Amino acid sequence: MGWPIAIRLWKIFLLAFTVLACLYLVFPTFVILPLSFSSSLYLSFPPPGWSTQWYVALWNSPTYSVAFLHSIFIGLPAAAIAVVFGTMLALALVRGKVWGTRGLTALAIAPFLLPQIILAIGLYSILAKFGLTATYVGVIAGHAVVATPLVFITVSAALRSYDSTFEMAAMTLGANGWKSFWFVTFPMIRLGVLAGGIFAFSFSFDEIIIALFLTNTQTTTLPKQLYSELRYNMTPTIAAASSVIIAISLLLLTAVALIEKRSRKRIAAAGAGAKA
Amino acid sequence: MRKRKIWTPGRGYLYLLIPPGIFLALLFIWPLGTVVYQALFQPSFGVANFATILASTTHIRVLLFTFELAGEVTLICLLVAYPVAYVMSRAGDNMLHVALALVLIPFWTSVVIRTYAWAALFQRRGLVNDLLIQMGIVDEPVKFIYNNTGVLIGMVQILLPFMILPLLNAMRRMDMTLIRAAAILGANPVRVFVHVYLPLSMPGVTAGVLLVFISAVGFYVTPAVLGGPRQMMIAVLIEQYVTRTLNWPLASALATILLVATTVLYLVYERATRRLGGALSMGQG
Amino acid sequence: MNKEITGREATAGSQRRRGARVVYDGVTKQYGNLYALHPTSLEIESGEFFSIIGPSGSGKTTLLGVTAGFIPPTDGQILVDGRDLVGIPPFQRNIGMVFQNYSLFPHMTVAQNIGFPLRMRKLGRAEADERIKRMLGVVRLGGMADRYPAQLSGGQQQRVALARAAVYDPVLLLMDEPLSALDKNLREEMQREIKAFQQALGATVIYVTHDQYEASSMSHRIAIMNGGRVAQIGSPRELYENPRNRFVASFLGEANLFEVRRHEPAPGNRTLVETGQGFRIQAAGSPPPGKGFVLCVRPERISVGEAKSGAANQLTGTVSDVVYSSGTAHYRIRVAPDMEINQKIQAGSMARQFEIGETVHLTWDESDSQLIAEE
Repeated sequence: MGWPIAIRLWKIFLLAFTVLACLYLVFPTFVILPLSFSSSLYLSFPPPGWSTQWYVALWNSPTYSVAFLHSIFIGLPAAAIAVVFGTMLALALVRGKVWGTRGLTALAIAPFLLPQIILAIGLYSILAKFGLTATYVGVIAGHAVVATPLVFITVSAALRSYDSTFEMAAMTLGANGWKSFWFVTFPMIRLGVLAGGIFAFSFSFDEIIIALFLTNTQTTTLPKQLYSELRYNMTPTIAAASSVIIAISLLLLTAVALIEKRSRKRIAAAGAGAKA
Repeated sequence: MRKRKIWTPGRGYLYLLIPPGIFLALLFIWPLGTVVYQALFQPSFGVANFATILASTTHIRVLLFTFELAGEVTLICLLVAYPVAYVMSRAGDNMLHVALALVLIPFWTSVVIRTYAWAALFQRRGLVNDLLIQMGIVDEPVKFIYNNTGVLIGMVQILLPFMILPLLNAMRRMDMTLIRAAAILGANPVRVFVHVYLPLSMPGVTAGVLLVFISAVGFYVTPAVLGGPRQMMIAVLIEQYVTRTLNWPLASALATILLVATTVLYLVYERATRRLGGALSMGQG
Repeated sequence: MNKEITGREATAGSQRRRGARVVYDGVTKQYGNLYALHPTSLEIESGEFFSIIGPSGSGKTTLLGVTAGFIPPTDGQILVDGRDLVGIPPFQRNIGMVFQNYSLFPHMTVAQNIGFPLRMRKLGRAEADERIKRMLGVVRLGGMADRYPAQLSGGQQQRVALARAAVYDPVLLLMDEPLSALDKNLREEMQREIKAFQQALGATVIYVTHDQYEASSMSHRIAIMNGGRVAQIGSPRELYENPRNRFVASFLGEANLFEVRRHEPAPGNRTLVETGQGFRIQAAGSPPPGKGFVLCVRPERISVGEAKSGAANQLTGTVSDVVYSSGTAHYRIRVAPDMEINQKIQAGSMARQFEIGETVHLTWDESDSQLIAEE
């Protein structure tokens, strides 16, 4: 067999493999959708009929609605905190001339990479000492800490996408540190900050481990609600709830994708300045 | 010459480190420190907790199983992700966006939901078994989950994006002229791959492997739902000690072991990704 | 082009500021044991167009960075009209700077870019608008006020950068290789524009470039830097005709350098030099003081001919290469196994052209044999 034929066959194989792998990745997520419209009480395939009863049940269920509100109530502050601190870290470590930048960057990313369960029980112990376990404080704090690296990464990427000479130019023109940030840096990293914020919110919205330890029945989040039902009471309502969550996540993901697209256009325009 | 207080550029940025620094110290370092402290100081100072863990075969089995399973997951992820990332890296822009979407969608779906989906599919009365029985392929439900296979299938699907993204990143940055040069110099495609492409992709491979392994070791939801009693992992054990037996010292000791192991791996990851710009090699798109 | 920029247009309505007088006194920059800038002292006159040239790593960018305020010097003072800038942050120095990549804020229009420094100085809306309009007129971009930088060509962006740096009447303008991103023809046109711009404004300009021809065509004086030190300062002509050392001689233009093996004084204030290749060459004047020296002859001072003449300095050689470039013929003539001489002549002024392989005779006047110190 000559090389050209072998290469062609190989390429076909690779392509097929990739398609299969992608299917493997998305299949479970999309299997839930038809499940949620099943008219039977149990999960079965093919579904005997179609009905929206589970969405109705979801809508009427007080526990799910409350959990949904909790997730939002926790996710928004957590994302806001993550945005503030993540942006500060990114500015300091990317633009500043700090000794030990590498080590500090590793530290900035660590909360996201290390297993969340360690942080969860640690935070729980501390909160127990202060009697704060029945409040939102713990879970918001925990989510904020773990989500900060996400914002740090996106804002760092935004900062690296252009030269620091813009800020230098602003300084020669009379802008001090704060003004140069507000008038020059921030407009240029705005999209990165937004993307990071959406990542952070989405993370908090989906997070389970910290929520498991740091929420109780009064402050349960959506993932925790799902998880409990999953262990003890599997009805297709879970499928309906999951579908709703997936839809929301997809919306957020699309938002980020659009933002990245706009930001890419911006960067190309700024870059054109140096070449023309 | 008299020295005056000189304004240095970049000094303002140093001050920017303080608020997040305090934040991280309070809500990250302190909790981690507490865990280690509890492991070492409760009920009394000493390594008694660690001794208890290492003396019991159950504990050791859990520890070994966790690392073993994480290793298997990592290996499978690598073998699946490498070709996929390769194809994606050579795809045109449109195809790339579609593929990225497919990779990111599960990434953005909660672990709980994805685990639920596998459970719904592979339960005794799940979709796959229903289908198989209806089609007459088997008479009784096949046991897909509550065993190693189930957990593997679930975890690989969840962690695959963590392997694909760093690989994709490294592959897209690869200088293709090196490949062409090797080809012109007389190397057939297999040799080009083995001698040029593979070595060049190593930074991405290392990043992905460590990322997936570190995540896999700390997994909780998927092994808990899709695994049987023999598939207990560290995180599940820790949770049981905390919520059921209220054995904080032991839980902390286990958590400390996990912490030390993942920290060491993380430092290795840091050094390995130096060429790709440090821990930021995971960057999206 | 010069006619369209007048002093009146540029400064009407604001009091004309004379350019600053800048004095560097012992300015040093050390990184550990490495000197990026050895103690440097020089004086720049008010309204002067002063260029700094040199190879990479020569310290010219460091000197500019110290002047702008981005690099804190290890020692020394920088006096602008008598006021020491060291320790003052860039945004309080009131100097203008034009960057290599223009650094126009992409999210602001041309007018907003130019108006930015005025906004920082809290200038009233009406007056700011008027100044912006005037500046746009000076750089001849009147209709572009609402365009974004991405919509402009490179040359236009550079003009906006100039306008922005000058709109608040700084007494000192710094330029960091502003034209290196442009193609050749555009560069030459912009050189004329910048020069006219500076003359209209009356500001002092410190211009860093790696292109010596650019520096020569625009500057009153040039400083050549090497290894963190200023090698020589002078007008373009002075530097070329009286290089102080070997580096300056070979950096500017082309130079034929002969190593000196032996030398002895000759009558009539001359020196007889025996070169490494064994040639005996006469030079006017006496050797410079110091460690060693070389003998330098500029290519355009050498005559090439067929026959031996009776002139004092003569070499025989074979033509090894001929390059014709825009009206000038460049010859390379091998006079010794290890030495080739570069000669340059206007193509029209010679009797005939020589071919590769021909034997020719080179002559030059003894006053064109320059004795130049090694360091």
